[in-house]
Amino acid sequence: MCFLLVILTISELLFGSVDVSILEAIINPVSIDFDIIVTSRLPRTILSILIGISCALSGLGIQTIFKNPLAGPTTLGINSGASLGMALFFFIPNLSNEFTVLGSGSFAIIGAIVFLFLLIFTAGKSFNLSLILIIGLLLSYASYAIIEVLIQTSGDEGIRNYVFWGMGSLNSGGWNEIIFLILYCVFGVVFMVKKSDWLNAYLLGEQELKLLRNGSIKREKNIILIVLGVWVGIVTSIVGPIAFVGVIIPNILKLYLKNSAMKTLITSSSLLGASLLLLADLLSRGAFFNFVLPLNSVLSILGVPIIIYLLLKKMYVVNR
Amino acid sequence: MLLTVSDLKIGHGESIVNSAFSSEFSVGEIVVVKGDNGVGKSTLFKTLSGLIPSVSGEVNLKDNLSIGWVDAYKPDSAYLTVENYLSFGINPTEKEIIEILNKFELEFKTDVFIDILSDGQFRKLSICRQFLKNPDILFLDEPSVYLDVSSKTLLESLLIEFSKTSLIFCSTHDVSFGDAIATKYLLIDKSCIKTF
Repeated sequence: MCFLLVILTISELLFGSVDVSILEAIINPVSIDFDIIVTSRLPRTILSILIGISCALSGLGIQTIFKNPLAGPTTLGINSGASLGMALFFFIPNLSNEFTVLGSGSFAIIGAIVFLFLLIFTAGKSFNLSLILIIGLLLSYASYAIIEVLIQTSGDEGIRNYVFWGMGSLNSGGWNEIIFLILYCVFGVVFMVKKSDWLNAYLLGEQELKLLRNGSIKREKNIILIVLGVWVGIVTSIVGPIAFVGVIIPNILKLYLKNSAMKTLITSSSLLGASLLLLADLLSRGAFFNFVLPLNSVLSILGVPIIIYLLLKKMYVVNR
Repeated sequence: MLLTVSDLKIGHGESIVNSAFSSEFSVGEIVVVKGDNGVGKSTLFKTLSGLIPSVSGEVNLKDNLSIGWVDAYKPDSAYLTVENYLSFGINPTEKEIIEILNKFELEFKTDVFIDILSDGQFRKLSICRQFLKNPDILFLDEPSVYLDVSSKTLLESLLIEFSKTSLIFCSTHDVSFGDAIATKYLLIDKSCIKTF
């Protein structure tokens, strides 16, 4: 997996609408090649990797807390919550002038967290597998309905900004966002590793967890959900709602590694998530073909068949 | 004494038995709990283990006791393997895992998903997990359900061996299984809880 990541990283740096030579760039720091790689492709590569890690790990965390293999930022509508936050930010006049990236980010974060807790609240204690997905879907619809209303009532500028943001793109991250994301990723990974034993035991049911550990399960769960919600919010505010990475990566790994231990999954999800995002970005910006696609189209085209496959495979396992 | 119970009344909010119950339990005992369906066997176990509060009276556990629990619950998390199930929160060595599986005559690989196990296999696996945890007190809620005759006999001898270092509570409707392991009986009905 490390190997795959390295290959894709190099490809991401090398391939694009313009051919560049890395040799030329290294030898001659004032060449156009150097310029393209450092100012355009390097930040994009780093951002892809960071977003891949963030999506895969927040997805892994959400799946674990909801005990639902199909839970994730996309399927539970947490992305939609962040989108609604962003839409409010874009469409309320005067707001977007006063706030900066931090401003829009905090709207997305609040949106994501509000939706996470709405889910926990409405789904109650049962954590019924399908119920929670349906509630997530309904929350998504509700948030898009509100966004439609906002679109109807707002000016051109806001709409344009919102639509471009909503397609999901790795263009939009500057170095400020990248550094901020690096910091949160480091915090997020360390946090997840620290909680990995707790999360492992959580998978065995709350009663077993109570017998193993002291302390309030609810409190612990809320802390984890907040950290994950902030993560989803930050990612969504920088690159738009990224589809399906959080669901497919941990599932594929659990199925093929035949292991659900958190630490193993944290490492492998990070590597595979980053690889998937690099691959999707390469495809989306026309590195191999001569056309540009929205990132989310690529991810959905890749992701939906995999999810359907996983669903069928899972049913096979259960019914055998 | 590992566990002392004085003037205990159990229930969720209001007491499900009329008179209070007092007793003492220590290591080496296998207490077989008998009572009709829904009379409160699980509630008693939960109260004794500290999972729910008592209605009145006291349960005195020695400090820092570890508690094991076996019931019909199967984790609903997808993709849990046998190894995951046995090791999460306990972290035994690979050797210990193999040994305990052999002891229970479970012949499957450690990387199979627990979803595909039969009810009987899973029941044995869940007892394996609690043995690995090596608890001071072990609560077993109907452990012999789903088990075939030879597995039951095996479980009887394993429980008797395990009770040398632990206190075991076991609820069962299986008379021969109960009689084979019991050192003490605990009877629970609407009027009272009593031991003999």
